[in-house]
Amino acid sequence: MNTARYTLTFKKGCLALAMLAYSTMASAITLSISPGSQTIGISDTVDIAVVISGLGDFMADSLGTYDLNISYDSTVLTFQSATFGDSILGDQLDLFGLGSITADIPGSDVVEVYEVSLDSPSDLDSLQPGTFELVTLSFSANAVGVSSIDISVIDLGDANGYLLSASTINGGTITVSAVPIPAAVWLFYSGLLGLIGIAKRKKVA
Amino acid sequence: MHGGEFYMAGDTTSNDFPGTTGGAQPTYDGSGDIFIARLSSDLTTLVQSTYFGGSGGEDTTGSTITFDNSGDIYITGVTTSPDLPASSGGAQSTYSGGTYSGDVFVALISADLTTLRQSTYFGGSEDEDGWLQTNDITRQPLHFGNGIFIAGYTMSDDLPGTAGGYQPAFAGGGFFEFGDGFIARLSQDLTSIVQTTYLGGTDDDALIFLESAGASSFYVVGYTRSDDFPGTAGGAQPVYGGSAYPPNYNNLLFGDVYIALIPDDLTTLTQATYLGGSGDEEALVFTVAGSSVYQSGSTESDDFPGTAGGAQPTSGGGSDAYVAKLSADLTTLEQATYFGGSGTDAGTAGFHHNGDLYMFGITDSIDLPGVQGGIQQHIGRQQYLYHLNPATVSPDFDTYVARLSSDLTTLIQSTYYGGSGFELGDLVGGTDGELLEYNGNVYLNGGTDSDNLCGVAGGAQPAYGGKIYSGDSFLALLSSDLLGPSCDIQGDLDGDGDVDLDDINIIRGYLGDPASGPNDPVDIDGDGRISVLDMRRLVPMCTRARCATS
Repeated sequence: MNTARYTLTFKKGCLALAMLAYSTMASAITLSISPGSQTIGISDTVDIAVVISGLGDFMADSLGTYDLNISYDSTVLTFQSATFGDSILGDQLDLFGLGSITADIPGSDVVEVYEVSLDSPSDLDSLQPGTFELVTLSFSANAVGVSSIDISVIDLGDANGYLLSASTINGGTITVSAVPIPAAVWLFYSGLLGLIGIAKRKKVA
Repeated sequence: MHGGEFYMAGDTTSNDFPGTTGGAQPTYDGSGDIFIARLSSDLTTLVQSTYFGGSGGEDTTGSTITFDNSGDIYITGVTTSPDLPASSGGAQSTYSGGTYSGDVFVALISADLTTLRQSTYFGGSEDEDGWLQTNDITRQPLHFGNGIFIAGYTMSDDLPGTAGGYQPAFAGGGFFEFGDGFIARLSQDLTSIVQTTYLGGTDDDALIFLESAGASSFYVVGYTRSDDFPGTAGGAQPVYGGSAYPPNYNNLLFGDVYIALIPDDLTTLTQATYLGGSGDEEALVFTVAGSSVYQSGSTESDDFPGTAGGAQPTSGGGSDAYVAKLSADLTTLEQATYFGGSGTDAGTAGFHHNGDLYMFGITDSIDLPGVQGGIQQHIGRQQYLYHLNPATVSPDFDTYVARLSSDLTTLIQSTYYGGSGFELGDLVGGTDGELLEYNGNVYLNGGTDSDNLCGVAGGAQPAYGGKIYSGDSFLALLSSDLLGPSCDIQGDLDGDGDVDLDDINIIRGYLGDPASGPNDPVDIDGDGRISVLDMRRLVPMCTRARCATS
């Protein structure tokens, strides 16, 4: 057996695996607006969450900080407030609820949101899931129209403050309709459609 | 320090000064007296102290003590007392007048402070309104050969003993009413005036200090606004360099420094020279070293002579410290150099036994040259200042030490020393540039109102004892190479000795800024911009968990 050749082949294999792992990690991070599409009536308020996924999932790379610009159409929507952290899991950059550094800075057609964790790198790496909501933004509708919600990354940083990159960024859309339509009315119509469907099936039968 | 004991002197208005029982003058005589105190070398015992003064006021500084060969003490100052003790039989036994500072006095006291051997007045009759309310001010009595030499400045045109002197007549004064410099030689027992001479031109002149030039002559250094100062023909700089300002009390500055070489009989002048550019200079220290002399101080001139080829050939801006090396005969300016940044810098210089020249002084320049790799690379230890535009920054003064080659062509290393408050400092020694060393390390002393000086842990007094603006003294022992380990902790942007939330919030205040340069301490990751990544980078560096501030 050619030991040298075997060693070389093994090293190449390791390198390929490492590169695969790196490319997987590097390309895995996704930022999304959730839900991606919503329709609301005039004067309604709407919440959208910024979700990150593709992190290490209780291992490195975890998220230590982010700084994002969330843009919207201010002729359609008015920014109201930002709530940091995941609505169910809690703030995953403040794992123990002891505080982090956060800010929401409204601008023209944009709101900048950032958070810096004060948790230790080891805690972030071992306790942070791979997917969670970073922040939830509330908007009120002030005119009929369609506003896209776009994410622009200023910085994403890992537990030690080194740069992370998001390979995929999914924006969202909020449609503001002319007449406010209560949710119960939509239920009524959808129920009616259901009854029509049943009636048609009965006729067919 | 004399005979293994510390001596200190100063002014007091206390009538209960400690340790005066058994002293040469055990009781206070009103309106401010001089005190002299003698302490054991470990500073644990006040061996003896004494007052000196009459019913008027006296003023002196600690640097005015000198010792004669038998250990007796000479002390000088100014007095308005007409009844100075032991002046009877003195060279000038009666007070000559003056509304404010009055006359110079010289007193001779036994080393044990129990006996006042003799005192004497020295002064003229003028009643001037001089700067700092003085008309005859003297510094540092110089024990020299068989005489005591005092120097100062006066507005009196009738100083005693000037007949036969090099300049027997008063040449006049200017706006500041300093008048002329004077030098007087008194007998060692203070019972006679051997010779006096004025030394000055038609504007204001002031003699600041004397330094021995060998067996029978000495150098005298001072300031002048006179363009007709005597004896400068043939000197290294024969012509007055000028002053940038018309005289006013808000800019109490003198045009040039002058240096004169004078035989000790005071009847002739060997050579004098101006030293200065078109701005203003202040002389601080004069050092004799072999066949050259070094004079250091501060300058506002951007055309200070002789700086070409120097360690810093051009002014850093504002006022800079300077050192000039002249031939011992004062006919040649061999080399000069600026030392300073864009702010205000002033400095003194002294020689280390390693042969290099050390400058000590104060600075509020955030861009002092040569500090890279030094003990303290950031003024006030406040690294965040280095993110800002230097033109907008006004830090409190720090002290500094700089090491230069003796030919003044190379700045070897420099360092700041100071905390976030205000420091004033000087080399331990005197106006003759004496450098106090310990195992090759150099001492730096001064005053501070900072509670975060570097290197105090383990010191005799590790914690700041004063209050804001009242301050403490400090004494620092620096390695002679002035190199780190650095006082600067990476991420300690506010210089309080730890890395915490306060430092993170400093970065937060500059989010979105471009870095000020490749060495911007706020740009922790060095990517050329200030971002949340810099904030997060600091978290693992924090002194305490979660970057707690205490």
